[in-house]
Amino acid sequence: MRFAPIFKYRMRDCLISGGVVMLVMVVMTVLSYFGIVTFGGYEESVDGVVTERFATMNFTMPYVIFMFVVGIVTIREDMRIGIQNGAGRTTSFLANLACLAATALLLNLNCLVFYKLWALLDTELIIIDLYSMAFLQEMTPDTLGEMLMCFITGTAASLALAGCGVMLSLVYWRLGKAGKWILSLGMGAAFILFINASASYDWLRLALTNFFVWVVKAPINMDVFFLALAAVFFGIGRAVTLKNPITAATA
Amino acid sequence: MAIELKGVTKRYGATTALDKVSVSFGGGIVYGLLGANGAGKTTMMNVITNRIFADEGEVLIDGERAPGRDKALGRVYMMAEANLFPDSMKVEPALRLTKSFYPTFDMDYALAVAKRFELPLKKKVKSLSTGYASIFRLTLALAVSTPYVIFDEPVLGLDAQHRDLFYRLLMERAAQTEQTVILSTHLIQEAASLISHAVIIHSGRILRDMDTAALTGAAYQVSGPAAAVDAYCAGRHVLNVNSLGGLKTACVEGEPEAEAPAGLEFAGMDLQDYFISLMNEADRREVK
Repeated sequence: MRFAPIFKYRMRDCLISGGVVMLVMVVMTVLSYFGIVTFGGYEESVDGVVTERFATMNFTMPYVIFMFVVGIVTIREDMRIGIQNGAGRTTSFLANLACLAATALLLNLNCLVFYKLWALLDTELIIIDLYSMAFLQEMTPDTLGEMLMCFITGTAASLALAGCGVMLSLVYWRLGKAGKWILSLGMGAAFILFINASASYDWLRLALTNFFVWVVKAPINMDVFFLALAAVFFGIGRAVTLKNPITAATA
Repeated sequence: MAIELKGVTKRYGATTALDKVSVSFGGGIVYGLLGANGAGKTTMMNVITNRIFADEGEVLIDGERAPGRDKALGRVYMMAEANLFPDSMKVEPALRLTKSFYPTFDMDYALAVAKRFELPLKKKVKSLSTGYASIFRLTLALAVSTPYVIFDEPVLGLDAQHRDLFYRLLMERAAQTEQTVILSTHLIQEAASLISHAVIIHSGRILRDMDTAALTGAAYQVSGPAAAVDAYCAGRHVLNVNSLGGLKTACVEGEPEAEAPAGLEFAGMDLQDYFISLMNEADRREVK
């Protein structure tokens, strides 16, 4: 009963901010096109003769970064609005999750529509996404199957990053001052140690290489990878909300 | 049908904010939740509305366990000191958002209350002054029609005129509806006429949980020359004593005799006097 008001409020918010991001991307694409017309794009030449002249515009990356930010900034607000208005933590969390999923779907759907429209113009500017980078040698998806895979991979990546944002926001909310410092410094230190360890230990490097080779071996692997990440991130986020005090925002 | 707390304990590190508190609120009356700063009032209200969890005990709302249950939580509306609406949200959208959660939220009444308080509807919640932020929150709480409404320091930052208006609106609302109101305030004297039942809390424990009339009728003041007052108080349960020169005033629990002994005067106690006396006694006991 209290799911719908939170979902509606958040969805309206996400549609506005997502719409702005879409608009910015479209404007940037058009401007990039005129930039190429004026200044020239990336050229490939054989014996001094230009054989191909093109530039690429990546839609997935800005969208996943947007989803990461939306994940960070919306979850606490939704938890607060929910508890102020008699909604339990589960309801607020699920409403936020549903909204993030809907936003990810809409953004990536927009990506596909824009692909098709832009492809009709047949310009030297190619719009690509994560799937086409990994599996289509940076070519625009053409068939319905390819487009569907672009959509699924983009949506899965968006969800993973949104989940990461939600998890970080909730974990930092839950932690005290000392905990925040330890986590902030610890994450950086752990990352550096991990990189060094992977350079020092062959078995670790090999395991990592094999894993990432598996991820990019087939689209389904990449989708499973992103969805698994999303499940882990949202799962940790939900666990954090089970007992956290819901406090007002501080300036 | 009531909000019931059964053996609720809440600790913050070494501090016990609520210590095995058992109390219930119901019956469509106005409760005064009274206590000094740090007594555990806000903690209790936050536990009821599931903003925080109790370490022990349980909270039932109309017989249903409250934590995490939308149905139970939706029956209580809390006007807290802290604002939980997004800072960027304006007043009018916040009223509409509340309406979306509570279909019976009286929007016309909320707008009328906002107009009477001259609450700027186009302003962001964040940019409201302390007084208007209180008005914004009390407007929501007055217009919501949940069976239980909690006001935590509702008149914080309000001038005397606005405080008076709030008390009148609350009295009207309480008379018109079946709502059970929990009013937590330090301005006991001002709110005393509204409060039917007082719950007095001290250091996380309930000291008194009684009908206001019975509470104030259960103690009286005796004043006169110090020696006469001391003689009178011997063997009686004295809550508090004040001395001024050779005169003394003592607050004594129980019922006074029909006639005061020679040289002494009896007087009744209001809720604030009783509360202060009780707090002083509790503090003295803690020191001992």
